[in-house]
Amino acid sequence: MLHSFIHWWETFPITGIFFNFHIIGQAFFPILKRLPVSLLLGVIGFGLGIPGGLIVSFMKMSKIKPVRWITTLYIDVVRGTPMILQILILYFGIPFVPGYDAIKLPLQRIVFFEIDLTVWLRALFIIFINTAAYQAEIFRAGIQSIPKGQSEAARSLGLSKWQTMGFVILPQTVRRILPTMLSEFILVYKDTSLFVVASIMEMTLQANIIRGATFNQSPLVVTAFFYLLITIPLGRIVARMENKLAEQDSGEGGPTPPPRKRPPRLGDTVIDSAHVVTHRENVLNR
Amino acid sequence: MEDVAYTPADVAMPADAIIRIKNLKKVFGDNVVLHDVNFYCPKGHVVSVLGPSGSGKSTMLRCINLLEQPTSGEIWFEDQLVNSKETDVDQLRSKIGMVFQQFNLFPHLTALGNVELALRKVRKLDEKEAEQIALDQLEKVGLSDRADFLPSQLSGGQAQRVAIARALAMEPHVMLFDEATSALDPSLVRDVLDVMRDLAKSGMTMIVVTHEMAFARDVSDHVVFMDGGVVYEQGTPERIFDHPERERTREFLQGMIDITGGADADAPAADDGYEEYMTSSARFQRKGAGMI
Repeated sequence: MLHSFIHWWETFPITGIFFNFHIIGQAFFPILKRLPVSLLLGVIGFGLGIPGGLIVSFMKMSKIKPVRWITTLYIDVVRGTPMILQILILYFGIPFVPGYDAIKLPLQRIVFFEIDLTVWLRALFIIFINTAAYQAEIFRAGIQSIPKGQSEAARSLGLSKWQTMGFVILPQTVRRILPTMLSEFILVYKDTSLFVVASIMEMTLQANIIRGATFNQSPLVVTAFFYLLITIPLGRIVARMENKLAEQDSGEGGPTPPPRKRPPRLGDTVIDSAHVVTHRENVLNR
Repeated sequence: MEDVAYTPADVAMPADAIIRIKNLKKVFGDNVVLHDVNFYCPKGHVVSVLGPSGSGKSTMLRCINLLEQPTSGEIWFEDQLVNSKETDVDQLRSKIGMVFQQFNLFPHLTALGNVELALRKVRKLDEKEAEQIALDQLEKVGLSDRADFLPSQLSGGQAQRVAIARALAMEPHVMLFDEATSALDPSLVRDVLDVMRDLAKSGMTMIVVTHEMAFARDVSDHVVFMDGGVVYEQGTPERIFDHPERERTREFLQGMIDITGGADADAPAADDGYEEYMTSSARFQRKGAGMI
């Protein structure tokens, strides 16, 4: 009975092609073994992006015009081009940078998860460049959403500009942008799959290799499961934090925020006092 | 404009007055907010600044601690020219306390944390010392039992008293109040005004932008009436309230009496001390009504 069901399942076109038990069984552990690669790329790349994004956001709010111009250009270029293109340009472009060959040999001897350090560093650099631009806009929107009275009160007590930023503005910003930052991490984590084009052996490439060998889509479905394993719980946490922030803010009954200067457009990073929403996916369709 | 504003630009300012404002002008784009403001505040005095909204009172106050940069004119704090390039802004501000209409407490810090922050970071006191001073200040405003509360857990009146304690902890030489009671429920105004009264009695130099006429009359040594970015009339409270020289001062005061009369009628049942507040404004009301 069970045998005949499995036989039917695996020969029926849809179930057999996408959810083949035998092939899922074969692919499960090889793909699971590459999960740390995807996760490490996401976590380390995103982590590096936090200080990077903060510095870029300060530069974007700088009083010095050229600094602001350069930062705006950088953010526009990163946010306005597909990440896969950024990977192709930088991953295969970095080896042509003068001096690369000198550091290449020693670094190549260091290997984590069967991937040498030059590959790790190039991939992490690309993720850093990409996510720092997005995080900069999240930080900037968050910082600018703190009422002006906060910095005025701090400055009128004699705190310096940077003390005010560090002890008054940023602690409040972090609370507000946390959900958006987690969403950004989810995006970064998913984008590590694009390193397929650089032949970095993460989950998606491993699955694609098995797919090629078996002429069956099931390994890719297994990979989807491993992505969802991380993204769905995180997504729930994001939703819960947003609700909590909205509740707290409506409970405080503080002064109403001033009206926005213009209605938000697609692609804006929008902050209302409760939560931060990026429309990143909608526009850029990465 | 029926007449030209009365601005005693050449009024002799005693050099020992703690705040001296001369020919202060402030322009935002095309909008001249302050035309020509002149007055001074001797040490230990309370100066009340009255005037309709949009008359530039708040802007004038914010120029004193450089939250706004004056366009021209001179502001002197003790022997220091405030609006000069050499001013150490942070050091200046640590000697000038300011209390805002919207309290502007730091919502991520407790009442104690709010008071401690500048003690730790500006005056660089150690944890114990800062905490002791902060607790003392909270006790002075009657809130020692609220030290560990977050601003969101405080009433408006309590929040504003914490804000006053926060400013006082820095031992400022002068306190600026920017409509400190305007955002409060009428029933909470009294607590804050009481704290301000005590502060005035203790000899603190204060410049108070306010719509509380009874307070201005009872507490101040000098009243400045501003309208349209100029000091329209100034003098002792008796002179401004009982014998205003200018028509517009009279109109403004009459308007404020009407509003205050209405607000008092709505105020909740009196407990002790509230009586006093009531009587003082009722007394003012009688006098005010008589003068027109």
